[in-house]
Amino acid sequence: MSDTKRLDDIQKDVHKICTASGSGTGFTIKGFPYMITNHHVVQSFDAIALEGINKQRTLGHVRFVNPQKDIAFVDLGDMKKHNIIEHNPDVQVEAGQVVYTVGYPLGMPISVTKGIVSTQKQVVQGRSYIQTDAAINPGNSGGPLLTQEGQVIGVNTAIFAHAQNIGFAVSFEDVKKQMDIFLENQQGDNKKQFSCVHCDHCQAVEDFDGFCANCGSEMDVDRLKEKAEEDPIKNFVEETLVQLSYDPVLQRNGYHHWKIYKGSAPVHLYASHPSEKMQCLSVRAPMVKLPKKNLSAFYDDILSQKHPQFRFSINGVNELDLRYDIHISDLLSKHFESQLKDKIQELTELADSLDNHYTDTFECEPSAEAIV
Amino acid sequence: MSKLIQNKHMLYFQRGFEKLSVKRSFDKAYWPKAQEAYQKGDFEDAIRCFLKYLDPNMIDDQGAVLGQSFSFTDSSAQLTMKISDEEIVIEAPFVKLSSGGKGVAARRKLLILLGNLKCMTIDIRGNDVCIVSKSNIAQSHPSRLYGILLQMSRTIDYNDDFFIKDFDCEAITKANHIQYSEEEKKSLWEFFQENLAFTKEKIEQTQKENIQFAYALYADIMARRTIYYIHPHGFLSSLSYDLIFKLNQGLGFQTSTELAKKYIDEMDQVSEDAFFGCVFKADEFFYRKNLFKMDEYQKGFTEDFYVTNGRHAQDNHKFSLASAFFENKIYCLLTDLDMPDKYQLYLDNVLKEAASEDDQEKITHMLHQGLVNLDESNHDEGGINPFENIEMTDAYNQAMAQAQKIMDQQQKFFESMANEKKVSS
Repeated sequence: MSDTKRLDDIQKDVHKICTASGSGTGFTIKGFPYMITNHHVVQSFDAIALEGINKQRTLGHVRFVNPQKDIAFVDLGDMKKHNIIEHNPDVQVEAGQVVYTVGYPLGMPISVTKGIVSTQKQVVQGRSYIQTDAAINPGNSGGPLLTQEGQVIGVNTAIFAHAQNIGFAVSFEDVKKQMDIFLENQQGDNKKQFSCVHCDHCQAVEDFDGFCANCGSEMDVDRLKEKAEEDPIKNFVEETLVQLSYDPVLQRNGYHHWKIYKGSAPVHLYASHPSEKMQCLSVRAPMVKLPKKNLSAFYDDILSQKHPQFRFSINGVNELDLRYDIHISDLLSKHFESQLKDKIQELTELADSLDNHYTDTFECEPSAEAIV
Repeated sequence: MSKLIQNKHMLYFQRGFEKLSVKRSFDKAYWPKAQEAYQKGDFEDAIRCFLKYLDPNMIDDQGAVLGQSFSFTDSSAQLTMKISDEEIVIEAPFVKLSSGGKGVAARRKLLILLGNLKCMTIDIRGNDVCIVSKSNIAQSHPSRLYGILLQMSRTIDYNDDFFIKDFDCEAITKANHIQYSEEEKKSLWEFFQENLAFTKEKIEQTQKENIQFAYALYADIMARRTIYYIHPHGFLSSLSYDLIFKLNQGLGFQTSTELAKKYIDEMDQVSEDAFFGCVFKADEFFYRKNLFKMDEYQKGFTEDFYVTNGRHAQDNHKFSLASAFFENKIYCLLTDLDMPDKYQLYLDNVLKEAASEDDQEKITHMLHQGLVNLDESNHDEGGINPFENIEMTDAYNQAMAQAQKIMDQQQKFFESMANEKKVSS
């Protein structure tokens, strides 16, 4: 990008999207009131969490999807739009042209990568993409592919696994066509719509019975409609979050992973990997970085069992965690449900007060995830 | 490291095979009874049935549970389960902390260890470190109780030697060991020395031929043979496992060679006394893997075959399946004494045939086909299906399921060359 300041500005219009399945990227452009992303990022969800560069989250609602073109449009909720990224239909895409991607690879903070257009039109499985060698990773999906001048030319969509530097972006020409279809067919009732993969006929997902009303093509309803799942872990956590006055959709951080903040303290709730012997829902609050001095007293303090209902541990980045585990049998049985929810609340409150205690007493610095 | 390779490692890198244990048998009939009682909210009966599942002699059918205490000895771990009207407390002494400078390092290590312990914490009483799990009486599901007991005993058994050696801690409990006979000891010591001599000889040969990774390959084989044949405890076990783990992290030629040389040097310096300090049978309560047939295993573990195919799996996807088949064979032999002879024979024949081939493509095809045949129980011998009506054991099914996963991964890889992969996690 020719202007560093412009690149900083552009990042304001690129957001992280978090769902119960994973995370991806979305962006806004001047002249279009919705966020643009990939369908495979939002999948069948109706409501998703949007996270800005300042880590603040807001609720977004999916308004339009085209699974075949892998495009989705999301309303921005309370998220501010900066109108920095533009699309100029006259911009030519050429092989060798320098391009940038902006996004949230692997759910990490926003990052920019640079590369070139390898081929302006690469056909894969009958679909045309812009191929680039700019680094694209899981989590980049739905982010913009930009020219040096900050003009969007594509939506980063796919990579070849096991290959190096082969990434694909849906051409913005294709995105623009779907934008026009959506804007022309907006009903004003905010119902989620989709366009038919064959005839582009636009219709409401809610009313869809599996066959296009225009051309009769069959489509998989499950790819469009969010289903109420019988998922005891998800149900338990999200009920608990509601009781603690959190919006569960906003706290989703991937499959069976939620992240909340209680005051300055981050708290993760996540299910064990299926391969683990003890299947648990773990609650973990990284509180502070370990102090640089007086470690012996610090270790004695945290091993002194002042809070025996929880456990402390040192994590992989040398921070002090506060932890609690709920075995899956406790979660399923309902014998103990209310007490478990109380424990989660207790842990969040304790983490919020203990991080101050350790900062004051042992001069610990806040954990990397803490809100300072 | 790709998922494929990770899965491949999962197939055979099952910690625990190194230890010989006294065979016990659970009374499986009590497990569903414990679950049923728990579902009904009869927690006392759920605990009673769980205890009878572990050992039918531990408690009478109508024996009191509340207010009672039960003990379990599992190698060097001595666990106690105390049950009151309100809670279940499971605890076990771990080690005694030293008062010197290493006490700080030990405390830090304990706090790191705590990151992996679920539903339990560490309690320091004076200088004695105890692992403690306190649960409400309503948290008495058998899988939860078993998980805690198993995790606690494994944690202690895997870590106490390390804390004693590296942090000058003292043992609190005395491990329950059963020694080998003099004849067995002699045989194990001879094998250890032969293994070392074999490794050195192979390395010398391959060095002349200027084969890269020869040190790493043969050190890896030596470590596996040590683990699978000798079943060492203590440092001999840790050294061997650490080497295998590190060598499978995709290290470069120089680093892996240095690592391998260091390992071989350390093994070269092991005295007979030190060796027998690590070689004994542990009396384990919660670990109940059967021993495997060593002679069968030896047939499968042909060094040349491993060298030819094992390492390729990490560099070249084409050979992953071949390696998977091979490791599957080992897995079956290690986990399943009861695998029908006909299966053993079939696996042996396929391996033997493949090992006699030089052409990698042919070997891959042969093993792939062998695996497919096994999976489909389609391995006619002169028009007779030798596997008809054979009841597969759980362990074998498990091994085959893992092998299937690898095949699926393999298939996905080929597909991914033609189809794009979605980027979103």
